[in-house]
Amino acid sequence: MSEIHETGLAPAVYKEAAVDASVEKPESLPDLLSFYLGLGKRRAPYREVHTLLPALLSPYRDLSAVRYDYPLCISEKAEEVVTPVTNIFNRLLGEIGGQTDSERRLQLYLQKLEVAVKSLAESISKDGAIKKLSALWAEGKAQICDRLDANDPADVQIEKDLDALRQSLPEGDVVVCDGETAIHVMYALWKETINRKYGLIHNTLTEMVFRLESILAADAAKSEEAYSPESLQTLIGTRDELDFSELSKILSPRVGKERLSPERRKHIENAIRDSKELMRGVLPKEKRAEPGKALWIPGALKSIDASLAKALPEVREQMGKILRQIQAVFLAELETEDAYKPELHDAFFADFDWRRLPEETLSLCPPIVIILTGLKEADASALFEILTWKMPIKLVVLADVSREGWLKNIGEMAITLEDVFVAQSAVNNLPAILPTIREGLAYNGPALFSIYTGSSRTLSPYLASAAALESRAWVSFTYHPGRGSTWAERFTIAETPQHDQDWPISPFTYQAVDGQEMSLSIPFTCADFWATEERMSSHFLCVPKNAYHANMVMLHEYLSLIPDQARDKVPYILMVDEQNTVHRVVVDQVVMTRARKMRDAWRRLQELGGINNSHALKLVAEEKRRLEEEKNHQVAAIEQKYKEQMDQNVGELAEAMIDKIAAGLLGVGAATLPSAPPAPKAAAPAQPAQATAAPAAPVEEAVEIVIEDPGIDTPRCTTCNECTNLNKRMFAYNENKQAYIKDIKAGTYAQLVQAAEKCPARIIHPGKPLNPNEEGLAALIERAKPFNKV
Amino acid sequence: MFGIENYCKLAVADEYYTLKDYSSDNLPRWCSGCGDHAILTAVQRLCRDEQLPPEKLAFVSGIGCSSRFPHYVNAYGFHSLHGRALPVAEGIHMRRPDLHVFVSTGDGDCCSIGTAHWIHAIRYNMKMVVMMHDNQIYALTKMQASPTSQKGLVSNTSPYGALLHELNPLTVTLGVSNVSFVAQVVEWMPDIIYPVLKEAFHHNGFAFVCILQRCPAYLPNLYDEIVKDMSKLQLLKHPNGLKLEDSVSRLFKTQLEHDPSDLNRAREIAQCTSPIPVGILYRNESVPRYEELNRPKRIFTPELKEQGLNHEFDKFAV
Repeated sequence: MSEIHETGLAPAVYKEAAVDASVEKPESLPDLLSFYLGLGKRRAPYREVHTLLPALLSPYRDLSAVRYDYPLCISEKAEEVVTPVTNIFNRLLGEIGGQTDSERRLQLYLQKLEVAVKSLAESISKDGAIKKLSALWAEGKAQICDRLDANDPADVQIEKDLDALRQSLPEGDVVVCDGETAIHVMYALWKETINRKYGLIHNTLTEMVFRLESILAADAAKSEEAYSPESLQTLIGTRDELDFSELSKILSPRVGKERLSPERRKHIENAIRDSKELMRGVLPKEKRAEPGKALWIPGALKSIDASLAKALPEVREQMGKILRQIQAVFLAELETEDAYKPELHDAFFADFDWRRLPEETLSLCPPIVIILTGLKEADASALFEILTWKMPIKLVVLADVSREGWLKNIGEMAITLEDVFVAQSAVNNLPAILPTIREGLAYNGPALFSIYTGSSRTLSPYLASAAALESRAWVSFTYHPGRGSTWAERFTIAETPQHDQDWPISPFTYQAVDGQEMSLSIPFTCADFWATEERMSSHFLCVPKNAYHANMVMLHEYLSLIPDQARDKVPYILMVDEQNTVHRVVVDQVVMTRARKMRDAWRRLQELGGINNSHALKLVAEEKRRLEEEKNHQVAAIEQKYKEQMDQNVGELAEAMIDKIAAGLLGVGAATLPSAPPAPKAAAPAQPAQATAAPAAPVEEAVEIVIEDPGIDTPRCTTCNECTNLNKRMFAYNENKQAYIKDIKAGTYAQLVQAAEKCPARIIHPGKPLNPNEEGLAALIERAKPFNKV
Repeated sequence: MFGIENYCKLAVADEYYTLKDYSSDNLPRWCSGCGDHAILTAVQRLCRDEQLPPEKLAFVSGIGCSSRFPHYVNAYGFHSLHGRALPVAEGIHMRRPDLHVFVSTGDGDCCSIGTAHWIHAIRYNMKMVVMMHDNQIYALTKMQASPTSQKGLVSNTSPYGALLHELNPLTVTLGVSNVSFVAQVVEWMPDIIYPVLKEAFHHNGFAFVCILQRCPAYLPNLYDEIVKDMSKLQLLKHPNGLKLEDSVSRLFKTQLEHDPSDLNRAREIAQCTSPIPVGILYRNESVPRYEELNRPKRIFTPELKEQGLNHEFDKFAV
């Protein structure tokens, strides 16, 4: 991506807070411990944490300076219904290529435009407005191009190119990351789902309705009215030679024969009506649901402000209506074949229920989406009741845990219900989980999407939700019953950042007071997240450098201490102020207790996701111990065996030695004593270092080519000015300041040959002369020859 | 972190720099056909492709034809004293580490009067690109033999032919401790100058590039044979070395596989004068740099200085 001028995040320089000489050094440990235990009151020099951000979050204080997945472009007509605007710009930047100066300059302006478009989208969103991408493009372009010179062709070209690129944009709304993003995204994906399903069932239903109407038309043709003189005259035409009254009398004996039974006719009429309604019903009648409404049922296209519990009958009625329509299709299928047998089917249809629908039918059934914001605790039972209905109802809960804390575990609770699809994530992560949302909408049963919307006093919704996800204060997981029957198949936490860790760990570097660079790897804990929440601010205390104490321990290290070690310690996290000064912020016991519980809850969820499963770890430990014991037994047995063998050998050897020594002393068999080991061979002389270059690899023999067209091997030009000094109209420099033949007719062949001779790099090839009448041509052609060979 | 690290910060510059932005108002006064033109263009191309803001560039030179280089670049420039380009460049780099420092020096400037600075600059290994324009002659002063003039060269100062064997800048450089980057190119092949300068620019230390060039005024035929016969140049190639396009690489009829991390082999190759080695002879990114080693471990605040002075004064207090 170097062509499109991106660099890594410019590292801000963080500095440790300095000692404030004006403040007397307090007796900090008693102060800190009493704060930790909730006994002490906050007083100077200790401060609150209002303007501070957790250390790892601080580089993103200014979100406008970084590229990320927001805003989104939502376009019904585009191939990708929901696309990050950044991706659209990346595509355009890639298409431009960046080979020439003008292309690279255009890329730069495109990047400026991206920043302008994003900033415009953010600013209008504050008034709740949404604009099309092309409109924001036009406004942004006007902003960035105001300094361009209308008389400079290059500047004019930039504007033209930007206008041309605008034509290739998807015609969609630009949506920023806020509390209503999930509504826009769910609506777009729901519409995409039902359009797809509609496409699948539309032809079938149309054909079925046509066949049912044909049955009714055929029956109508047998009615009394069909044989009346007037009907016959209309049918045949207005010919006076025929007596239609007579004709009616002749044909009338056929009236009433083989007519449909009233029951079958009613079945067929109902089936036609319900099928048509189903065809109409699958497409939304309104363009967009109103954001901010508590309840939204696209099938009924009705917003209900009442609580979910109160709305239950209406939801049930809506689902009943859809079920009746499906029943009508079943009936219609039977009726077209005249296969309806009341004695068999009456009972079946009397007890018609979602549970009886085959998967194939369910997969074609349009889902209903209910979006719930500000869900009350009283609605919990209604919510779980809906999920047990086994109907394709998709509940989307937009949760703000700072206000509705009870929603935190709603996803985990829903997993325990039978076959409910559950996806939990945060609004910042929506672009990444689009495939999961599509899966949930396409799933044949009920689904629950639990989305953290992120609202914070200090952070933007994007950062607030991202911080919640990173800190495990809100976890991201998917439970898909359609994928199989085991936990491993159904459940995944892979969408959570660094999901195999307690908390995601990142590097953080700052400059200590003595100038030394401190590089740490620190986790982003749930305490870091709570520190950004107004409601929790009383549990955090910013400690001045004067009051630092050796017993202050970073929170994640504190968690790993045993109670005895932790007794006189105070946990803290690192936070950074607007001047990039790093402060230690101690937390109290309430935060620690919650952090510990939250970490343990996350660990249990990790176990379900296949990480550090406690049962498996226990079994592994037991098996390891068993194998260790077995190995020790085997080693002991082998050692014993060899020891015995060794004892035996040593005994035998000692006897043999004694015999030999005795024999030597007696002057017998001296020659049989073992000889000294052979002297080591003299070391081979070191190979002299290779003093000369290794034989060079020959490159394949080049074939000689004779050039006929005049030209310059431009990339090899040395910019020496020889040719351009000869004739500036004939030779010119390109944007790399390397020569090319600008106009071959602007000079003579003699000049071309002279330039070739002067060129120090020998890269000008005069070729054949253009003008056959030029003076002294024969001699010039001869001089040109060596330069026309390659 | 927070889903942001997948993307990057937008370094939206105010403007896109073209070659024109690195050209000063002074038109080069080098002779037509002089290799300095090619080197200037290659450096300007490098600055353009790296999009280096002109105000972040410093060009330093000594005395000689090549040392007119800073006049022709739109950037900070320092046309210094004979042989003193390197200490000036080192000073600039120490005080302004944010500037990219380029040094232009000639064979007379660097290898004669400036030799002591050259040797120690290699040893200091401070981050900069040093281009040694080697045309084997003092050309600005109208043809006197330089340390790299070949034995027997008749010049104004050697009317009976130069008496001594020429000095080899490559072997000298490779013989100094702490050497970290040595390359050689020829001026008439810009498609080699550019990639080598690019590698030199990205090298984390003192990058010494010897550029063989002709003097159209006094030694116009110096490399005639080599220009006509490419087999007399030997391209050094290796996966860790110079990366050339096939079209350029194919021009070299003689090529040698050489790992630039092998210092002993580099010294052997440097001794070879026929064929002339072209490419990166040696590169070691891990050689410590003087400015890094010498960086204060802590900031000397006024309080610390006062404390230190008082400590010293106390020794003399009665």
